[in-house]
Amino acid sequence: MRFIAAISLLLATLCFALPLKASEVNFYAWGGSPEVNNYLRWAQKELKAEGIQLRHNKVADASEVVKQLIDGRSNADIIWINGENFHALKKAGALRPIADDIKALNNISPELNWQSDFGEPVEGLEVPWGVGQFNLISRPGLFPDKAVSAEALLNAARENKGRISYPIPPDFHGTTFLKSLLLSLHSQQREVFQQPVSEVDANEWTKPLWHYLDKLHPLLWQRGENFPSSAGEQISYLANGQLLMAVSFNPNDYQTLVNHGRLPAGVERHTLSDEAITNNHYLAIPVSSNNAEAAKAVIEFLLSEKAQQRKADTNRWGDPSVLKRTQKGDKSSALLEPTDDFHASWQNYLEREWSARYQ
Amino acid sequence: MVRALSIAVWLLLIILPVGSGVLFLLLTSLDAKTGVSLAAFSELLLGYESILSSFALAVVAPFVACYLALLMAPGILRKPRLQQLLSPLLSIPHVAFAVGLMLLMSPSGWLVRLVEAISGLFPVPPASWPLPEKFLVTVIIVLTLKELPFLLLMISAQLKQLPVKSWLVQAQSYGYSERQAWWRIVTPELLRRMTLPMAAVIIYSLSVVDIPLLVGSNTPAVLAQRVYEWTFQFAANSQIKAMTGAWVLLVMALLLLLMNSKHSVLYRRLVLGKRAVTPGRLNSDKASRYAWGFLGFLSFGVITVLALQSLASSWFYPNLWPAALSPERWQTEWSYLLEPTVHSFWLALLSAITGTIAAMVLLQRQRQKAVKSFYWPVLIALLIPQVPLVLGWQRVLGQQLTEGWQLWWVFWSHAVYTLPYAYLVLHGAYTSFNEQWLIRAQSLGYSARAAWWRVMLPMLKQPVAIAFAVAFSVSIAQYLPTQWLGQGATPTLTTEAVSVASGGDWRIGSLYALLQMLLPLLVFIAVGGIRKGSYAEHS
Repeated sequence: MRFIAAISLLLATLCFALPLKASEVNFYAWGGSPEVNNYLRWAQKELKAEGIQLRHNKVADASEVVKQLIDGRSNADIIWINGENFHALKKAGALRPIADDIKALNNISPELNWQSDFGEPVEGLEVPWGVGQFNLISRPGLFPDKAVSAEALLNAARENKGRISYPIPPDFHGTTFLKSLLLSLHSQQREVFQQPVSEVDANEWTKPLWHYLDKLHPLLWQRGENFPSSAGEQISYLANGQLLMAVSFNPNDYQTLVNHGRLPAGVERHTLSDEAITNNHYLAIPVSSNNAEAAKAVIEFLLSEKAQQRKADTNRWGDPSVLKRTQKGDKSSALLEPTDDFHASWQNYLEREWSARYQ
Repeated sequence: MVRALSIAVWLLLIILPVGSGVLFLLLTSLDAKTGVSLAAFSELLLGYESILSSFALAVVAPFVACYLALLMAPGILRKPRLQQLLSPLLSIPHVAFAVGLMLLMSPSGWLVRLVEAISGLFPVPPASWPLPEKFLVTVIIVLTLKELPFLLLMISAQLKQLPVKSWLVQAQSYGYSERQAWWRIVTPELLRRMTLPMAAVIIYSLSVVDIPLLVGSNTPAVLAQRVYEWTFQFAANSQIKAMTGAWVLLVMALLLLLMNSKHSVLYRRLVLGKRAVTPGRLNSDKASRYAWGFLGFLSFGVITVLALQSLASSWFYPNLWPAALSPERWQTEWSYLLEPTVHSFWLALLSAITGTIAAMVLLQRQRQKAVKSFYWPVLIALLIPQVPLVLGWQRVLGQQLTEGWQLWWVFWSHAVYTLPYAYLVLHGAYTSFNEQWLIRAQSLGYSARAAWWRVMLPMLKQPVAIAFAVAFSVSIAQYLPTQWLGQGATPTLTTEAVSVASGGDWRIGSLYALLQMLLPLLVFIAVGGIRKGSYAEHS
């Protein structure tokens, strides 16, 4: 009996301890980067002063929230997405049109091509938060030039057998790696990839890529039989000397990760092909949000000069600002030469073809 | 009373969760757009490598772990304190264990660095090393090592219920060596009682995703991992593959469970059918001692390397030690740890108590009805992939999830998982409990209820405590139900740990892994403290 009494007592205390969380803004964002997490902790403190409770609900992958929004339930007020996750939500009609309500969009850099997300028209359903530029991070001396061509990569792989790899598609870093190779292999005709797969002879255009990969894979880490599961994992392999290169979508990572002790000093940044495939990552508000007004206020804050500048600091997150450059004290480092992403239909096509051949 | 309670358990913890999950699974499977299709099925069979690797993983890891455990178990008979050695290994999260093992033994791990420091053989990590980062065998080794302590714990719980020492003495008086007596007399009985814990281990090996994702080969990956990945790709095609794959996994699980149920019979036939042969050259005593030593070394090594990582400012190949140690990371995280720790603790405590009591209710009901066999529906929750299951719950619970009741539903979902594990752990001891004890107690004037409280419960104290501890660690490890039913309102150490680890930065990942390990460790140590001799010896 004492046992049962003890349990009821426990249940009762828990009942009273049940926290009431009414006016919170639930921000679902990937939690895999300590720097991003610390940045959002700072934002939390700043917003508290404005009377907004921001809650960073960390997820291992943004697609977890997308899955819930499409097939289940979610209390998300803001989500951090781009690419395929955006497509899926747009298709499901799960996002609110918010672009017209966000005043900070007036300050967005005009050079930022944010109206299309991985080739899919944004249509006001999300607003840009930061810039992604696909780049290679390598140990010093691996590649002679800033821009690495497909040929140069193959040469480096020949000279350093088993020490080069890329994240496994459909990880979007891996797929972008393939796209960059295509750009390098067809450097004169890159407009082709702006068109839908169905309107060009995709098989013909990708033939050189598969031919190239057939040559490259035997020279890769574990003879191309296995690949790093993610870009984060590949960074770890670069850090512990297994690999000589990694890939990143953050053009400042080659500095930021060194500053945080994740990579050894001296690593270099390169583009694969002449230009970096450039994307943005976005914030969006789901239709199901109960707290959309507060969520918009949070987005205004995250797009403010102050928040964007802090975000770009390479001693912190190091994610480039999306705002117009101001004359005074512009510390944000120069971006890479950008090039547009492929039309959205290529994503699925490349993933399918890659996995049919190499998986 | 028992009858009413058992009905409540069936309704709340089995029929409602499994029913809603299965309903969701069936609805999506029959949906023309997302459902199972023959084309996807044949495509899956054509890419049979995934299925084969899944099969190999789910057979080899549990099987090897089982016989290693049997080899090492006599050690516990001689030195019951050895059981305490298992606690750290039992409580360390699976993924953290895999990471720790790789930090020690991978081609860029500590062992290779040590060789490099002494001999200069490996200026760069060696390409051919017996434990590569991505390899099915690596997954098998990780799972075997992680399952071994669980099976040893299960065996040690069963040993308390059997008059093993007198069996061994009797056998020796008939001229068997101690080793022969162990393998020919004790082992068959142990294997019979281990059928259910082995079932848990097999299901886990078949369905585990995070470890293959970390250290498994990925062209192609094991089926469970592919199903999980397909679930989160939003092309219609991937959804169909995910659903079809889920059913294939289910069939594989049933097949493996069938094989498992024949294990002890087959053992009897193969081993006991033959005449006692002269003992092999292998000195199993010595091997067992080495195995214990290795296990001890491993738990020490894994925890040390995780602790060093969590304190390291940076640590690159080929350095033997981090460049500098600093408590900075711990200090930064410290103020954010209270909430997840409190959630983890309460959820684990309550759901483990609930799961253990519910399991005892079901088992008591089985005794009343004199059914010794196993209630299979209890296991179903473990057989269904978590994603469709939890989505089904979200659908059924609907609005309930957004009105401040999240914590309770998360508790409920944890209890859905603690119940089968508690049941698996308790089943052997509970259904084999010798009725004579109760009859004697009642002949001495105790009521049936008093006999249960004063005789049966104290005698089953150890298996019940172990069931509680296992249930506690099961609750601690839940990620998806906590995230999805909690809707962000119930962050736990595990949800933090899993999301932080997704970035591959193992310095902060190690910090959370160590914290995740702490609570179950305390519980396992407390349970290991219950040291009673075998009651069965006196019967």
